[in-house]
Amino acid sequence: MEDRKSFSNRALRGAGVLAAAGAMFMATVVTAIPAGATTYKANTNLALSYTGGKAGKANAKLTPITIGYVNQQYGNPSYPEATQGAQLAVKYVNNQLGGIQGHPIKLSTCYVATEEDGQKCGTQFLNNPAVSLVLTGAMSVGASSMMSVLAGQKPIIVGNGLTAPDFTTKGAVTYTPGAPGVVEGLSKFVTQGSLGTVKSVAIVATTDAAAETSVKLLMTPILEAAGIKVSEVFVAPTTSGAAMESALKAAGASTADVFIPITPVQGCISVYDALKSLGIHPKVLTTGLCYGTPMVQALGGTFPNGWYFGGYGASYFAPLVNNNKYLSSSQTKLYENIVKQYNPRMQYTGFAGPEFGNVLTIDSIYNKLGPTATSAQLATATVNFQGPQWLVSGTPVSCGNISPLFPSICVGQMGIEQFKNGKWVAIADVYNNKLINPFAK
Amino acid sequence: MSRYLQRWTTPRGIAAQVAILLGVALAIVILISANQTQALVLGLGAGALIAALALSITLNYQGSGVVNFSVGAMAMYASYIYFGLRTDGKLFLPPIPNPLALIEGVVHLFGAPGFRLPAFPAFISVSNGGSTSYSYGAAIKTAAMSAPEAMVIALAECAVLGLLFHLLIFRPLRKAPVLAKVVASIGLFILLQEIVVLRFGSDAQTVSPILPQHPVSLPRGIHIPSDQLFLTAIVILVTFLLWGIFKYTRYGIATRAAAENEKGSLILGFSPDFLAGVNWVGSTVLVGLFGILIGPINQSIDPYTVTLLVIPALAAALLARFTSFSVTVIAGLGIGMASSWIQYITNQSWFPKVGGAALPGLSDALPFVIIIVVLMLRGKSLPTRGSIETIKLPFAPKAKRALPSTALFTIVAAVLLFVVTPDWRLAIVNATVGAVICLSLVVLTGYVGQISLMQMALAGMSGFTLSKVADAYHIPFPIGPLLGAVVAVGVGLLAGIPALRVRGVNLAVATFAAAMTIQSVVLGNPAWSGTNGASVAPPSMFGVTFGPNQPWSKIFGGGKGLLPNPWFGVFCLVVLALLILGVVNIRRSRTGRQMLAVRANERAAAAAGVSVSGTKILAFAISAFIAGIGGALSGYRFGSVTADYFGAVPSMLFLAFAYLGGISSVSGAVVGGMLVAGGISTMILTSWLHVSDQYTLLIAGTGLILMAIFNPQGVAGGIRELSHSLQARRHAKRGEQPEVELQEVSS
Repeated sequence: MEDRKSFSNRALRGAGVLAAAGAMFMATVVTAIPAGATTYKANTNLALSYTGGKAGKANAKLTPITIGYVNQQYGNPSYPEATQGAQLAVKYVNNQLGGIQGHPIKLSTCYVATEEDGQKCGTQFLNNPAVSLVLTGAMSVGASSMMSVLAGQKPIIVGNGLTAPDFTTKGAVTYTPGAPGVVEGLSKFVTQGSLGTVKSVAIVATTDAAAETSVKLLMTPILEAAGIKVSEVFVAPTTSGAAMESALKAAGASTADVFIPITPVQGCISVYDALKSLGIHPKVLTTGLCYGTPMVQALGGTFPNGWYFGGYGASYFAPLVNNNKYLSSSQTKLYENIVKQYNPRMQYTGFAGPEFGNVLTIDSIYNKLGPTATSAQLATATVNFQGPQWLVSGTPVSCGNISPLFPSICVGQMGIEQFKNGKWVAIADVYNNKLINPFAK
Repeated sequence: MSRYLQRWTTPRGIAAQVAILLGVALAIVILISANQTQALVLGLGAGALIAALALSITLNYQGSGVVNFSVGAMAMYASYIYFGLRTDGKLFLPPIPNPLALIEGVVHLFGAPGFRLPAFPAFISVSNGGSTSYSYGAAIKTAAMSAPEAMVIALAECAVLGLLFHLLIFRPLRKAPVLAKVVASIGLFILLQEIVVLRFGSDAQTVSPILPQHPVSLPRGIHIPSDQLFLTAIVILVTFLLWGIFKYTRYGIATRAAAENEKGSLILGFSPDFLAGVNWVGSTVLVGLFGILIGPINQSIDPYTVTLLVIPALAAALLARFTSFSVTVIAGLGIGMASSWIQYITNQSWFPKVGGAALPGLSDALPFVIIIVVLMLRGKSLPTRGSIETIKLPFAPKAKRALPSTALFTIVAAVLLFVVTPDWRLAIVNATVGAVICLSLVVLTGYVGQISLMQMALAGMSGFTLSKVADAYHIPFPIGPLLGAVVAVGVGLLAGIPALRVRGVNLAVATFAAAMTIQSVVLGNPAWSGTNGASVAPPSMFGVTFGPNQPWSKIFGGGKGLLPNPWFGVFCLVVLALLILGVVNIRRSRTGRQMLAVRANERAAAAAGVSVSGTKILAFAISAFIAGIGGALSGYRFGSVTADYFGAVPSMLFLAFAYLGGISSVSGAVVGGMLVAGGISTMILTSWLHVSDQYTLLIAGTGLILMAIFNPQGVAGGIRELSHSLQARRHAKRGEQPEVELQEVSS
């Protein structure tokens, strides 16, 4: 039992950074949507039906509803785009969706760069009676100390879960499959034979807590249980390009049937260049982190050819179809239009899109409960929220029932796309109705 | 001939023979396997980067006696200058305090919040900039400037910066003790990194290739990227150039003479100051050139990757005794190649595993192992550059009326915990925990002169032990934190072994590498410490739990108080007070006098019957124990411990904070605690002065440099000196004899 608990804890702790993969997947791809604001009004109606608000401006004279918002805004790493997404949504809700029953939304912002900051933010939100609910952007530092203060006291919507506390803290929910979903989904994709007969897999992952544990405790066991030989090499997040070449060699990337890099986007670029420099061409399966904006810039406007990417199940780069009741292409068009209208220069890739969706979901929850909703009411409502989550594909939202190991995760499907010869191809995603359920037994 | 034979038959000679034989055997084994040879060869590029930085460290040391901890940061800075020019055609400028902001502030105060005066520019445009197109939402820019143009301008700026570093920072510190130079270079490290973060953000930036990048086939199916070969060739070429200059030119000979004894260069007609300046310019240009070339090989630039390569670079420079360029390069290339090979073999099925996975951090530990071996074998023969004159380390005062003043301080702080807002309460708690760790440096660095850059790593050992013993063995408070501190003592003593052979900057290098090793191999080892840190249950005794998040009742007025629980702060204050009294007693005791004697002059102390080794070991043990207690408090504070929080860079920052506060007195430790992240100074900056959080490290870096130059006594020492001079003036007015405190005569 103790071993099981320890395994679970470690697995939970490792769940982290890869959640970013899906988030970035979602947000990055939005940029490819063809412009076209003709349906803007129709889309705003779609947003109104989602939030349950009334068209028009919020009443500035009414007491604002304060949402605690925390993000890792500075330092290394940092995710300022999450804040931009949240702020954009607040502007949009207050200007066009009538706020929360007429009350404007206000973000009480607290930024973290250290563990000390996390504790400070948690304390501020807990002590502030105006804050009944806390939304996080993305935090690879400070989450543990912040959540230890807030756990069970005030509900937390984890915008983009990166570390264990995001998935395990009492009262925290996250409306994406998160890192566990993406990592286990990649493994299942391999074992299901979608890439042909696979006898060996080479993995290169960064030594950040989340990636390392995800690989060790979620990915490798699934692959090995299917009789696949796995070779893992872990490199520091600050590994130089030259050292990455050496890591690829050590992992056996040149001879394995499938090569899986699990790294942030800069590591992906290093991997791409290392493969090129070494002159080897393995079958690459990775997370959506690997086609973030820096990768497109590094490759002069394109993506690594032939690579498979796993994410939250939808790529807007693929031809848009409305064949899934949980994800509408109109949502993505609306997001693009709002960006153009309010802040065309903002960095709307990365975590911005999912964070935009989270604020809309908060608006929707509040509209049902009313502006005087208490923390206890909000805690129940966030757990009972059934979705669909804005800009997230997959099954209905169902908190606590997706994975016993990761109780905060409320959405349980992921998808795979491939970039091949200049085009995105749906491999197993929302577009061909082949979404992968990583948590299915 | 017989002398050579004699040398080889000594224990050290036999050890060297065994080492050579083992090395040859290993080389044969590696070369037999094509895969292992491939792994070795792929380390060439990383080795070239390390060698390049090590060359610059050696050049700096030869020229000015400074072991430059900021060399990686300088390379990184140069790469951003180049990047800014090449991509946007802009030269970035550091943030400079704008005096006009004061006028703006006054006008705002009088009700014109929109009033704005011109600010200093952040960038200067050098060219018109390239065109921008968009693909998949990503801005794709064409180069604004050609690579050679951007490189020439960037290197010219490096030359200017090198001169400025010399004139403004290291020239005023020429006669200062090693500690001041180390601290100034740490300050420069922080400053350069933060400037880049402020101007470009912390995300990595993609840079286009400079050197050709294609795979080169070698015999036996071995491949190597061409840019790695080119970089290695450039490093070797530069080494030959430096060797020629230092061997055959008057300037080079004078520099070498100055490195031995600065009077030597005077005899050759060169001012040591001039030589130092030229060498600073040369080394900054050199490191800038490699910084620019390294970026594309790493595929991107960021404020951290190259900056942290300073550790293996220091190991390479140390191996070459900070003198030989050729040995430096061979060592650098060797470390890079060996790290790559270690990475390969640790992932082989036959290599011992931990929990089914490769043992982490072994390649990170390599520089530490090299440093330890070098220091153990030739520690006393390592050069300590002779300068014309040195001034002493900061004065270590004997505290007067320690008990009442400590009690008063504790009571006042405890009362404040109950009356201030929660933010300030947290700041007091953070400052208290920070002060404990700074106090550990007072004993080791302040009293004994041993520069340690591993205190946070020791604190981490304690924190993780506390988590482990409480979680797995249910060992209660206060046994848990004490056990943690004992483990920290054990590790501190092991890592401090080099101190028996060396001191000063060499020890700083060794402890820095030790911190990196502890972080990678132990704290970052999932088998021992979990992967995303470990939880720490709140302290509890006699059924009372007093963690920071424990609900508490107000003493007056009743009702529940806001978190954090002030009683946790009181607990931390009591622990700090007890440790302060302990340290004060050490300073007053015979042991304290022996420590100061060792600090002042080890030979003289030994002649006076003081056991130098024993004193150093005792200081390492006490210091590690205090740091261990600090680590436990930190674990309680956050409810968890993580490897990153206790790494090598945080250890470096804590030495900086302790120095800023005043490293040789307990009051300095308290001030140092106030300066740490989230402490009192952060609150003052953000709440009162409305300075954004993101500027705090920039201010800290600048403050460190200024303090090292103008007030080595630290803030506490400065206040003490001011109070003494006021006292002396008062006595003079009354015609009384001022009280005189005895100080050590030399360092």
